Amino acid sequence: MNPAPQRTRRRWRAVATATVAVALALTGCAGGVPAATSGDRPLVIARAMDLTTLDPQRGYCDTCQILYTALYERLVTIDPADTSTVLPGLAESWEANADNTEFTFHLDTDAVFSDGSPVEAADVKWSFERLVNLQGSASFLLAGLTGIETPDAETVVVSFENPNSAFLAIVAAPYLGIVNSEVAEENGASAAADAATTDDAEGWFLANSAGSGPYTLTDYTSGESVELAANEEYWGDEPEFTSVEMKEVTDSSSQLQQLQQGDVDIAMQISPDALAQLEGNEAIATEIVDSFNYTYIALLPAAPGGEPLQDVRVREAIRMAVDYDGLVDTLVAGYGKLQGSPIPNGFEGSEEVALPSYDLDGAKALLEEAGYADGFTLSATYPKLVAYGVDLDLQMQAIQQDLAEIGVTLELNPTDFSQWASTMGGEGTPVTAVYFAPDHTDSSQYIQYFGNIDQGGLVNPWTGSVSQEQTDLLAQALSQSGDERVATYQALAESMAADAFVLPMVNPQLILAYASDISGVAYSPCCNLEIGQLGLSG
Amino acid sequence: MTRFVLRRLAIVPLLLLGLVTIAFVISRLMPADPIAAIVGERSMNNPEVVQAARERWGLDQNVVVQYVSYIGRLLTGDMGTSFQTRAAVSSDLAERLPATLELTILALVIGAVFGTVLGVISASRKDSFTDNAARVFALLGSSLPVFWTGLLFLFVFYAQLGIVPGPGRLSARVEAPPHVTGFYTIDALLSGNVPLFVDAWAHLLLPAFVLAWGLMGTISRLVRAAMLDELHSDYVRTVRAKGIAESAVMRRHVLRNSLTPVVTIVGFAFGSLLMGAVLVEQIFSWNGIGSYAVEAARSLDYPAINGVTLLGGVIFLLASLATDLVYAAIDPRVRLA
Amino acid sequence: MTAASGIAGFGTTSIAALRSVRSSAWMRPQMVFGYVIVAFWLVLVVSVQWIAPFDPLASVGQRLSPPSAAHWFGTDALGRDVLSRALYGARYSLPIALVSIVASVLVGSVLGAVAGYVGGLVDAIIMRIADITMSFPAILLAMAVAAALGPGLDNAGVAIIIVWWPIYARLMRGQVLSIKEREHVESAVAIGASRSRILFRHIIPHASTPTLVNATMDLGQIVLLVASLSFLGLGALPPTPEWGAMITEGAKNFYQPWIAAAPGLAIVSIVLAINFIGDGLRDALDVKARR
Repeated sequence: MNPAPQRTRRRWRAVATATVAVALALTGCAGGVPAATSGDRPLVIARAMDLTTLDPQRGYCDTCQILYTALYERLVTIDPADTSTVLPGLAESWEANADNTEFTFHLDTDAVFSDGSPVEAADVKWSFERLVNLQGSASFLLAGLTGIETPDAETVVVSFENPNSAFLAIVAAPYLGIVNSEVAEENGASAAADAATTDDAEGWFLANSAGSGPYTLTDYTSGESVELAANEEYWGDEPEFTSVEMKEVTDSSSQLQQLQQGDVDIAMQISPDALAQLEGNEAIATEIVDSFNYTYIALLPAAPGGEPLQDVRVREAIRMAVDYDGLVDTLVAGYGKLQGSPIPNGFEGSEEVALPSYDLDGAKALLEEAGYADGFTLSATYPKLVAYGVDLDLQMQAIQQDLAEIGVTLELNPTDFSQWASTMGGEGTPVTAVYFAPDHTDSSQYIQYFGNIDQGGLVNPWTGSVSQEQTDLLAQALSQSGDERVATYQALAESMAADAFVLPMVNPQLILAYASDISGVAYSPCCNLEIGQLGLSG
Repeated sequence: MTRFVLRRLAIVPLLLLGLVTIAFVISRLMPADPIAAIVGERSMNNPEVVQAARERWGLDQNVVVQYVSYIGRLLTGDMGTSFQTRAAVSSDLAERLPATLELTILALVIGAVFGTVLGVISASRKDSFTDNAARVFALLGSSLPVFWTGLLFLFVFYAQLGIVPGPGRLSARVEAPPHVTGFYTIDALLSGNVPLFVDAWAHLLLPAFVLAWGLMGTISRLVRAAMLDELHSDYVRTVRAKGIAESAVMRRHVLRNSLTPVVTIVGFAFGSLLMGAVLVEQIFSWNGIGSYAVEAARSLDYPAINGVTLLGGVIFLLASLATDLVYAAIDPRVRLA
Repeated sequence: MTAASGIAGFGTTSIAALRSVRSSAWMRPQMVFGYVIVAFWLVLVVSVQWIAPFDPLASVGQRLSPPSAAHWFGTDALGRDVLSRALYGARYSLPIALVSIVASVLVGSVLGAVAGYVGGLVDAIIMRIADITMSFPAILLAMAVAAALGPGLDNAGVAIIIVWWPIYARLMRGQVLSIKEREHVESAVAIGASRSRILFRHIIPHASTPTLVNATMDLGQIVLLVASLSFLGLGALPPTPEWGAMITEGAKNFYQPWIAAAPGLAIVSIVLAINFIGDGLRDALDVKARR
């Protein structure tokens, strides 16, 4: 369908040059300096960026994960091959006390920031405290923190009110990256208790970074690009690319085009429908990998208009009325899996939960039993987004068709993300649909966000009840480790699945598409994409 | 003339205040709470976090106080900080305005030049096939939704034929020229980088043409009508009677007088081009004020919404002021008013 | 400063001029072409359920399949028939455009007439509001209003009325000012008729012809504006087969150009037809050009 990329490119250049030649002839301008091309090839990544801020302790987004990982380092990291294995980062060793309330980290004395100064315990304490005190979107990650001690420059002791066995996973999250406190403070940053109103460094972080990661931030134009340069003082293995540009390319088809034309090296959001276009193209490598992301619908009985959803049979009927196989085909061209509970495939507790299945007759019978044989109407407010290849608008229209079969009329009200957030924080909606990507590698996050527990999250404010069972099980899981914890998460997954407040729809596979001479492109469970790992193969 | 200009200028501050006020009122009428977008939906249940964010963004005060302080800051040139980009709205706008201007100015030139040519051809061959074809082409321009034409042309000329580059202002891997005017074409020439100029120019052509088509139609229609008027006017008949060559009549008398409406329509044209730019920028991934406006409206970004409407209004006012002035300079009757 | 300004010179045409036009001038080929297309779409609005080959909301085929004998314009990402959706689109786009223009004309004309007739402070206030409203780029204002009201076709209509009324207010005010001095009005005043009676019985009917002609020509622009708002996500809600919203879906599926083709052609055909009629009207009424 498409002409060969190289030829395509030359053709428009010829046309453009012809129109320019006239102008040049008129102005008498001759010759010119060729476009500067250095010997090093800069790496270009195409991505629809969901960035607002580049301040590591304020941001909370998928693109933030990638950039923070490149610019800042965490105390520990997660083994991509086995997400339950914690590896050293800025800390060369660590230990937890018996009841998982106190964690001690011993910093690697070789670690230095991009200005050459050593990474010290004070920086860790400062960074964590700033994350908490800015009260930003990711502050919840350190909920329950009671104190941070720094007995000496290489030792940090973090303590929690309650057992928190998830902390080692959380501390590997990009939002817990360590910032050079001295440099940040010079530029208006504050970690004090009143930081939420006094900290003035957000603007500075839009153009600068102050971390120990493999790259430093050199330029950022919102809506256009983020540019990174290799950190010359980097204390780990030197990254292969000396400069990296992440370019805003909002839609999948443009990303595909630019990848085909060699304009970008990695396209991060190629849609499954476009994948066929890349078949047989040897210059481009594609891989399909499993991900931990998923889209879901949430059924929220306590929201206005959600009365029919108070009956668990009604929620169950809705789950059974969805044609899941059709959904996976429609939304991700078959490149996706089903998921039984809000804990995604691959996370502790997900293993033995039954997958949802399509049973139209069963759904009708259940609705009749619940007294809704004639159906009812529900309104669904959800953000207009394409998340991991899944167009939520499409997902909801498909579900709308499916629910019509059991007499349930779904009124769709797609909004922009900010208006959706306002609805969820305000009047509520009986049905919503969003996506979830992990913040870290511990299953607790799914109970905190989707469980019917009294701690906020998405679901609980709208259920009209609190599950004591889930509350107790979560506390129990956080004091456990190993197989015991897996069993507890399993019980939680089953309990959440039985509640049917949150119905996972599709667990899309991830399409990695990149120029075939690039190495190291992989999906990282903690951090999305690790730019520092990228290189040129062969 | 001076009195006319002064009277026109005197009303500008009032209009600006009106603009700011309406933009402010509309943004506050939005039913959604922007704080949710700032803190995220999961923190909305935490009153402390919400309160801190309200304080930080000045949303804790009552609307009247917010309005007064906004006007006060505006007078010092401070348009506030965008919720979305976290940068000063004034610097966001300054960064994006050249992209939009580069596009609209080129579209204006294309529209004016080709529109005039079409109009002249139409008028000089009235009711011929050429005339009819040109008129249909012109009408088509004002009948096409630019967001559809843009999409269609991108598919045909970029994806299928490959004779234009894709969306965006520059190709990937091409560094933007050092900032002087913010117009990539001009800055590229100033830095003597011809390939860069070619790249920027090639990226401009298609969106500018898509944007210009509607204007081309308006202008060709005006020129055609004006020329037909002139051709039938008494003095042209007199000139003709003197035995002057038809081509000279055309060039020296008819054409020159027929261009007056083109000049007077420029202000209007610029305004309508800016509107089209909002849509064209969406299709062509053009990081200008149109994209910024859409983004701001989507993310309930009050300071940005206010800033961009104010800027749009100012440009509109300047354009219509310029039109009035040009018109006054040309038409003696207005001068006396 | 909107599309109507380009044809503002038209405002002085009187009803007499309109009547004096020979009937053949209403039947120029391009205008007849316009009538036929407009008639086609209007017929479709009431009869689309018998004409469209498929249910516009049902998945009736393989998703994203290219044009074929069964689906002339292919199917979309949910396997719905694109042609049927585009035909049904007339039911949404056209009524909203018509209602918006009628409401804009009514609101604008009444306010403009009052401003022109009463004068003084009332005039100043109404016309300053009109000036300020017209100082906004229309699409920005419509976007902001639509965002404030929430998405939905009805709200898009309201946004359009807010943006568009000042055009008719200005037009009507100018008409009223010029008619006010005419004989029959002066004689009505002499008889002692009430102000509102003079305004509604004597002035508005005489000023309405140019307004109606202008409104006809603006209709095309309104259809485009409705589609633009929907394209930006501020108009129709899914799964409504509104043309602008369908083009947005087409933009998401760049490699399946047929999805955007049908709604795009629908918009172009109706707007072009309206413009043909408007252009013909302009020629017919423009005495000089007829020579």
